This record gives sequence, C-alpha cells and structure tokens, in this order.
Amino acid sequence: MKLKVLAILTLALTVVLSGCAGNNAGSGSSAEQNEESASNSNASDAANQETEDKPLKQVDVTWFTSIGFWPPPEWDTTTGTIMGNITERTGVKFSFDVPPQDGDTKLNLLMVSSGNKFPDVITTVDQDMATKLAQSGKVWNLDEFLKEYDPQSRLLTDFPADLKEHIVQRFGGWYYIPSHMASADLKEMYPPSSSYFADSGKYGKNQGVMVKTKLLEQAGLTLDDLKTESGFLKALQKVKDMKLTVDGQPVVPLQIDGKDYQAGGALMFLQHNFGAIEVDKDGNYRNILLAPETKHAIQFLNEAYRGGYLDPGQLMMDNNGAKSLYSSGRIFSFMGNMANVPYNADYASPGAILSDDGAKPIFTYASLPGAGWMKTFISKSTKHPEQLAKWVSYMTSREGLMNAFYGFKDVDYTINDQGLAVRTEQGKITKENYKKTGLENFWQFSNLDFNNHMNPAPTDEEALNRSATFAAYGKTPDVVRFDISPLTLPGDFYAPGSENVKIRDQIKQFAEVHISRMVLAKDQAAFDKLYDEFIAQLKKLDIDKLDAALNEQLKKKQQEMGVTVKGVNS
Amino acid sequence: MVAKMYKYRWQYLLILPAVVLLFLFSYIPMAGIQIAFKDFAIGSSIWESNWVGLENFTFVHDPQFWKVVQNTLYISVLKFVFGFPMPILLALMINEVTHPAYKRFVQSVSYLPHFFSWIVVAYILQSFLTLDGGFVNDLIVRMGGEPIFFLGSTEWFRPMIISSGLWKEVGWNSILYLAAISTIDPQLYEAAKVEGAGKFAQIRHITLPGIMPTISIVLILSIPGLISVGMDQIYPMMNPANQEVADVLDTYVLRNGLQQGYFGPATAVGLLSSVIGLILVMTTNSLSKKMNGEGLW
Repeated sequence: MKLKVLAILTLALTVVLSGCAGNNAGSGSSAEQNEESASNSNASDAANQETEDKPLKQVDVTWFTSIGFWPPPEWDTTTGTIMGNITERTGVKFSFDVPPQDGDTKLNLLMVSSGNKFPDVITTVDQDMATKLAQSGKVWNLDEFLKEYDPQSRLLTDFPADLKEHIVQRFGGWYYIPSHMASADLKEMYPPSSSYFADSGKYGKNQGVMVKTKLLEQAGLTLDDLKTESGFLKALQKVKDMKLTVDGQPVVPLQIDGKDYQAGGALMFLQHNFGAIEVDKDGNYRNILLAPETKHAIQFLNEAYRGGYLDPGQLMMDNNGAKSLYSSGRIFSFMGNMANVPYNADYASPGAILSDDGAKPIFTYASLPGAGWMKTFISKSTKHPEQLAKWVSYMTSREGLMNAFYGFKDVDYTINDQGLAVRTEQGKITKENYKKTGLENFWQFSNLDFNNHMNPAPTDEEALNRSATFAAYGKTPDVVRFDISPLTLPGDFYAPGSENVKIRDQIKQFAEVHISRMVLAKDQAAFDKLYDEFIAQLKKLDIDKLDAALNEQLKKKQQEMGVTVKGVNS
Repeated sequence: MVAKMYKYRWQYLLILPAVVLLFLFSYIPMAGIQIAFKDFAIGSSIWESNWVGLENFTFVHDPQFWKVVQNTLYISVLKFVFGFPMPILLALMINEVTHPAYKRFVQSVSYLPHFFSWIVVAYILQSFLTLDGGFVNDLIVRMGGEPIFFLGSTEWFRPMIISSGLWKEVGWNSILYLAAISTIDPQLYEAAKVEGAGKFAQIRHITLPGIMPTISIVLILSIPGLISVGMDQIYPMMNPANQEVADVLDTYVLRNGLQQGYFGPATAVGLLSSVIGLILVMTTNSLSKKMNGEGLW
C-alpha cells in the first residue's frame, strides 16, 4: 500500500515537473541565465572597475538582433581585448539572441509576451518594427535616457543634429542609434581624409553586377562586351555553351542574391539599370512595379532563366547559401547586392548594362541623411540602465570607435604622419578572427564618416579593385543621378493597422509570388500573360489609391526641400 | 459520488497534476481569445484594449484567404486519404510477419523517421531534390530525362508534402494499431484456421473488426486536423515559386498576423479554425456513434 502511494506520488510529481519545465523555456531562458550569472558576478568584488564618474558593476545584459546573418562575437571580458575594453569601460557583458530567420516575428512575440524579460538591447533593420518599438513605450527616448543615466554623455551634445532631426521627424523622437552613420554634420565633425572617400561616397553603390575576370578571359570576352543588354546575354550564352569548369564543377553563368533578389537585390539593380524609378515623367508618384522598365527588368531575368543561365533554385537560396555558392569560385557573373557576398578581387564590374531600347540607367542617391540601416534601441525594462548608458556613449565616442573598428594602437594599427590609422598585419589577422576578437563586428555602431576620416585612401590592389567595382555603375557615362530624398515618408504614413500599410503589405506579398512566377515563365507568351495578370491584380489591390497618397507626400516633401523631381524614361 | 471518488482516490490523485496543467496552460489562456475582438496593439494590455466587434474578421473578404483555405483543405484531404489507411495497412502487414527479429527490425525502421524534426527532413529533401547536384535529378539526367525543379514546382509540391509526411509518420502511427491487434484473442484465429479461413479472411473478419474501435477513435481525433496541415512541414519547403499552392492557414496567420504584429486578426483566424475543428469533431463523433456505436463521448 505504502509502495503504491509512493509510486503514485512520484509519478504525479514527475508529470508536474515536466509540465512546468516545458512551459518555462523560451525567451526567458537566456534572461534566466543572465540573472543567475548577474547575481554571481555582482557578488564578486573583482567585477568592479573605474569609469569617469563612479565604479560600475559588471552586469550581464541581453542583446537581441533580428538580422539573422549578423555573426555575434563570443563575449570575452579578458583585459587587453576589444570586448574586455568595452566591459572595463562600461560594465556590460553581452549574451546574444540572434534568430537565424524571422527575427522580427520573434521580436513581435517578445514585445507581447516577455514582460519584464524584454531584451535589454534590441537591434532591427525593419522600418515598421522600428516604428512599433518607438510607439510601444517599451524603449527609451535616448535624450531622456542619457539625461537620466549619463548626463555627462557627449552624445547629448555631439550627436549630429541633421541625423537626429531626421530620426525625430520619422519616428517622433530620438529612439535609437543608427548604424552606418553619414551626414553633412557628421562630415563637418569628421572630414574625409582624402577625396577618394568623397568619390566613393558619390559613386559607390552596393547593387551592381560583377564578373570573374579569369573566366571572362577564358571565354575570350572583355568587360566592354558586357556593357549592353544583348551583349551581356550573349556573353552568358557563350559561357554556357563553352561548358567551363572550375575544380571539376560547372561554371554558373549568372548568380543572383538568392531569395532576397527582390528586396534590395538583383531586381532592384535591374530596375534602376533599365531606368525604372518611382516618379513618372510628369513628376507624379507611380509605384515602381507599374513602370514599364520594371517589366523589362523581370523580362531580363526570365530570359536568363529560359536561356539556362539562371538556375531557378537560386530563387530559394538564403543568404548563407548565396554566399557559399559565390565563394565556390565558379560564378561567372554575380548580380545584386554585392555587399552580401564576401568580395573577391578576381571580380570586376562592367558598370551599367545599357538597355537595348535606349532607356537611361538611373543612379539613386539621398541628399538628406538616412535613418540608418541597423537601429539599436535600449529597453525601458532593463535592470542596468547606467551601464547601458555608458555603453552607448562609449561605443559612439572616438575612443569606442577606435577600439571597436581599429583595435589596439601599435598592435592592430599604427598612426601615420597624417594622423590616419593604418592596419598592421596583426590587425588583419585580428579582423579575420572577428568572432573571437570582435574587431569590426559591431556593425550597429558603424560610423562611415568617422572611418573615412581615420582611414588613408587605400593603395592595395584588392581595396582599389573593390572600390572600382562598387563605383563602376555610378561612373557609367550614361547614368542619370536621381535624388530619392523627396520620396522619404513620415513615420506615421505606414502606421500599424492603417489603410496604407494594409495595401502596401498586400501588394508586397502578391508581388513577391507573382514576380517569381514571371521569372520562371516557360515562354514569352506565358510571360506576357502573367504580366497582364500582374498589373490587373495590382490595380485590384488599390495600388492607385496608395500611389495617390504617396503622391501627396511627394509634393509636400518637394515643397519642404525646395526641389522638383521627375521621371527619366517614362 | 463522494464514496466512489474516495474509492478511486489514488487514480484521481494520479491524474490531478495533468488536469491542473491542462487547466493552467490550455483553459486559462483561452482568455486571450478576446484579442480576436479587440484592437490590441503591442505595448498595450489585452484587458485595456478597445472592443472592435468583428473588425478583425475582415480577412473573409480577402480572396487570398479563401485561396489559402482551398490549399489547406486540398493538402489535408490528401493527407487524410493516404495517411489514414496506410498505418492500418502497415500494422496488418507487420502483424503477419512471423520472424520476431525481422518484425522488430521493420517496426523500428518504420517509426525511426518520426523522431527527425521537420527542419531536418526539409533539409534532406532539398539536398535530394535540388536541381544543381541533387541525387534525384542526377538520376533523372543519367536516365536521359530533363531535370525537374521539384522545390519550386507547383505540380510537385503536394506530392512532396504527402509522401514525406507518410514516410515520417506511418511507422509511428501504426504502433497504436499494432497494440490494438495484440489485444485480439488468439483463439479467434485458431478457430478461424480450423474453419478453413485464409489470411485475408482472418484479417477481414477478425483483425479489422477487432481494431475497429481504435480506428473510430483515431478517425474522430484526426478529423479536426483537416483544418491544420502542420506548419513545421510546410514552412521550410515554401518559397515564392511554389507559394500559390504552399500557402496554408498557418502560414497565412504567420505572414499576415505574427510577422506584422497584427495579433487581433491572427487570433481571429485561429479562432475561426478552432471553431470549425470543434464542429468537425462533434459531427464525426456523433456519426461514429450512430454508425458503429463507438465515440469519444
């Protein structure tokens, strides 16, 4: 009897424990580890260190990043390391939460369900997510945050005013630190060390096309053969017919960005290359999907597919797959966002591929500062605001930028006669081991104008090749420069739940599927039919209504800026 | 009643934790259903959000929603038609195997894939079926055929889903039927042999009727699943090229609800699916009781 009771109680207890353990997992797990190690580290006197004002305890904080391909470093608090320096100066020690995919979906769920266990630091690239965070009341306005927890912070006075104004206009407040900062005020603070940087800033663009020069030679071609649409397609045909190989594997005539080809990748490049833009010749807003040049861009991809130069499997590849394919060395030409693959000096760019119908290629630039690619927020529920305030101030300071992006003086870099930082051989090794060292890994605090101020103009062949490749499109003689700043929108234009955002999202989801269908159309007749269906469905989804609202914003912005923009080709 | 409860007190004690867990993690969260009728925004509280009636149910006017429902039903009916009888057939066949070691081997091999996660299965499928270097396309090309874009084809998506689902779950699902078959009195088979009944006759007149209660219960429990086809399996295989047939209710909720942070409409779709599932299970239970006296309640 007693045994029976004992057995039943044991079994019942097991069920309870397994049920409770199963439901305590999830987003809280890293926070639990942090609390445990925070209590351990707080108990340690050795964790205290000096700061400008008072010693700050070393604390464990969580950093959530929704960019799946950002490689978080393994945090190392050892003195004399880059991350050790950060911990010493600010007291923070990070654990990272970086979902490989759908990071913003997880962030949405965290915002609803995590309560006080919301990550301490949040980085996202999505504009809508940034708006949601700003409006949610879950993140600090950085002005208030710094005034309360680091009133001596230089950020309160030194953060570029034009950048801040732009962020406040779009999001209703200064809620985040933008990455890849560049603006007129910042250039005044950090003037470029050489006209080389002004040049690459003016002409450089991530979207482009590049070809492997060795394979080009093997095929008996030159870059000039690729400068027209029909020339490029003929070159792809020739490469395919020659059945070239690299290490026994067949050469791939054309690679695009994988499944991201529609979002800032190959499609965007082709649209601009064939002259599509969001403004028509009359100066009215017109969705770029409706531009005839967009049809041309999709048609190009379809011809590449039908010709056998473009493997349809690429339309499903993720970023890692695309990088891996590119790194195999058997890619003849890569088209899309060239910054998404590790640049190889064997590649050069022909620049723009001139349309057979004479449309002029368009180079887009922004005269006003952007909102930053990555946006880093501080959570209001963080238990360590003092340390994070110090951290934000430090990472954006000259000292912090030198530490994070250059390393240790006389070890990873030296200062030349002009006061510029020159990377040493050791510095190159430190950079290659970025996951362990953290050097140049904190993209969230990248300051382009600071880098252009501290770096000498490159003299090594690889850097010059890279620069030439990324600037080739912008320097093509026939390219027309187009300022897209009048197209920027106020933060509430796509407010969550609004009519505008519903139409935009429906169009985006429909276009993503239908454009892929057009790319994979079996013949010209099928393509034309699909294109007609595409336009008809876009009209049904109220694209004209959205365009009318966007046109109103365009006019307002043009008036504010004192400029007028008009379409180039249609 | 109290006396009866006292008599079975240890059994009640045994199930009490499970009942408590069910109450805590299944019934209490039902309070969240109200999100389907509220204008719930991230950062606000569920209780303080405004009621908006049926505003979150406007997805019924979205043609994309009905396309998604069509895809869901198509895949789930196919899964049911192939996936329901196959474990029964497998159980019947394994039951006829006389060599014990071989029987155990076949059982183990058949239910091993159940333990693979769908992400692993999707990766295996992609490696096998990819155009560039995939085993299947290599074989097709060697046999003189043209490679097939399985992973992006709207024609091949459903067969891929059904066959991979069968491969993964048929062995596991047959365990229940094998257990039911083992409860059939062996003397019935002896008597049937004496009467001159062959293997098929024994299966028809003894085995199948013997496991009919189990089949009925499993059928009743399977019917609500018609409205949900398993996002774990579909999502890794979905891409823009096959999305027009791959997009199902779960992925629709993910894209239009969770990814955008629109929890109200996402909850509304989930609620509608659950109500339909409830109607289906009640109908099936009722029909099953009328037809063969077996039912869940």
